[in-house]
Amino acid sequence: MLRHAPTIPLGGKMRILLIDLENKDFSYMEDEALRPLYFGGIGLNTYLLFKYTDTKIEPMDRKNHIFISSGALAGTIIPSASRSEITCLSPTGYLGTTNSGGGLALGIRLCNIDAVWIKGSAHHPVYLKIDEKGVLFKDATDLWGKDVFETVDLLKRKEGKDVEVISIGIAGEKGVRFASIQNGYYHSFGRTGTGAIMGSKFLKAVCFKGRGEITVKDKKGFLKISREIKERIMSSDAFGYTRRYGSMVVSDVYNRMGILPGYNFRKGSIEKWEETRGRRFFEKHFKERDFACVSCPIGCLHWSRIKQGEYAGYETHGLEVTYVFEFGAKLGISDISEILICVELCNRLGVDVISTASVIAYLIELFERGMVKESDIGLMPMFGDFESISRLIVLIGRKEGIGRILSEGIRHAKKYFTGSEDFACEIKGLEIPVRDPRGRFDTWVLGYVINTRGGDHLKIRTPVDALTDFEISYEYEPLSISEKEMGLLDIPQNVKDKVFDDPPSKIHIPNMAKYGEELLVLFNAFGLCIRPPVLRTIGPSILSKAFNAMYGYDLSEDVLLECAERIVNMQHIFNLKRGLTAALYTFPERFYKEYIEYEAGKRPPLNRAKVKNALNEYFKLRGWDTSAIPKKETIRRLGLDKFL
Amino acid sequence: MLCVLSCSFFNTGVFNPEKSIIKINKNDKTQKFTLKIMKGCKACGACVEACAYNTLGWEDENTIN
Repeated sequence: MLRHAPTIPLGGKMRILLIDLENKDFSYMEDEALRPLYFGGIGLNTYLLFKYTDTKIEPMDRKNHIFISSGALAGTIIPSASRSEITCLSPTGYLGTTNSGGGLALGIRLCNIDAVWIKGSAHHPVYLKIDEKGVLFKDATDLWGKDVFETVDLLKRKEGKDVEVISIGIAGEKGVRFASIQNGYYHSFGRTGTGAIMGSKFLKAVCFKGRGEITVKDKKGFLKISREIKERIMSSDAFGYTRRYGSMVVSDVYNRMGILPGYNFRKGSIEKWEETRGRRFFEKHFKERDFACVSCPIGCLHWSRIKQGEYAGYETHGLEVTYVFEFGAKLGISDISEILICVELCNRLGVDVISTASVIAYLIELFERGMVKESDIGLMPMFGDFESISRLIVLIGRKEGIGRILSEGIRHAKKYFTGSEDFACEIKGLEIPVRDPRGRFDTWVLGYVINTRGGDHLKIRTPVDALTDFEISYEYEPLSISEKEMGLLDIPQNVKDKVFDDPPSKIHIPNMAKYGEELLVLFNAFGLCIRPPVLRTIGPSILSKAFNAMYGYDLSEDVLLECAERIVNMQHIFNLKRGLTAALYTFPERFYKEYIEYEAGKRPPLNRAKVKNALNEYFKLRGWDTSAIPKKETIRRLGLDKFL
Repeated sequence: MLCVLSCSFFNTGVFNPEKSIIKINKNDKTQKFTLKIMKGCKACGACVEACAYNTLGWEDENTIN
């Protein structure tokens, strides 16, 4: 343990800044052995969570820790390496982990550290100012109760406008179970309620303003690989349209395929979708310009301006497709201006957009079914009605009125409404986002149930995702990317042999889910973005070259994937210790019982037995038994026995 | 920021925005920025190569703007 800030810049050693809120003290932990095993980002966070977090405590206990890590390649010229990860025991009761871009990862590394480990709880509101020399503990009494934008404004005024700020809003202070940690004004560490944990520690914000630097072992090699990565990303078929539309690129196709989460997963397509919420409509009427995270050549982010109506003249970040699927489809709001205002309310209050829209959709369905009355809510909630939806967002964020129940999340709220379990759309305590699972059973959809953080779409992905309709088999999805894209793929041959047939025409879903989960662990550990031009062209072999050049190791792609497998297992064992069982690997009943209507007709519900088969196949590939318990030989093979 | 990071890496061997000849003044709230090339530019071209947005280019063979 070092008591003073080390003067040397960040090199191969993993350096973690340990902050004790209780005693207003800090120290540095350095460990060379962690780097080639856990890399940074989600890898490092998982190790720290697994080793140091007591699994017997309640999430809001002062003994819960928060880990904030930059990706191992972040802060450099590796294209798209701008991401960092925040991890803790989540208010869901299981793994809480969340990823964000912007300039934070660089900000952390310029403090000459890889990560921040926050322990204990302050006795009154504080914020932290971190630089390369150490930590200042500052009073945040005047910030407590302020929204995120006001907080960032004030901190930039006090600490300098180039400071990187993460902060919580009123929702985090009040312990809303899905409170976010906001990264600057518009980027979010959205999912799994990490903001509530920060709030429980009386920690309002953390400012990073370092003047350190990032060193590289093999400069020539690093430059060469960064050029190769840039070339691969920019020559991807997905590059042009990802820059033009950002995530909005899939807005129209989801509607056509009938996989929107319309009206709480009851309509797969929505009338006049493209004319009101489509990508071209957005581009023509709202988009002003593009912008990018610090190390990104894609620039998928948009800046928008509302030109007509009540909010004319208002400018903000967006539109992202998650916003339009959550507020536009799940809640049926047809006016993009109103969707943008809903998102801004969420950002200011500091709540996760997906979980917020989901609990509101659940409430509206309860109301439609007569299971809750207008007098219980204090207003009449309706799909598509901005007035009631925006008021509900505020009630949730401030934990007032009906917001007190909704802010507990769907899993807890459903206890108050007997008979609502079938349409309570959450998995392992986390609300399900953006895509209806009945549309196509693929790697993405299996990912909803196996994801270690719950019902979510961002931790398991296939690098060969193609949005086409196909006959659902529960075992395979078609492979339909171009020959050029196939040529750019960076998937190890032994993995290709397992996930594709020969010659490649289809994808084995459980095998791809295992690989896709490990691939995303590597992306989240190295700090790369998962936008299609990156995900399709960068894989373990390229990542190993970049990592080796930066830190002077000689790791192979197989070693990287084994480390990722270990990290997934650590997250899973953490969840098992928290009481997770195989029974929770299931979709809400709605998806097993109800047909889903869409533009071209009706699709049947999921086949329970076949979903179970796919899951069991995944468990088997992971070396777990049918109860999702890792077998002894798996634990031994991954060297996890020493932790247990 | 790829230009800023490239400039410092090419010319000093480390990633450090303070050592970059290019300074970016960014407003996080409006996502607008201004870019300035300070004195001392050797016209090595690293920033031009790094820029994916056509913000930086060659004015003539010795000058970047």
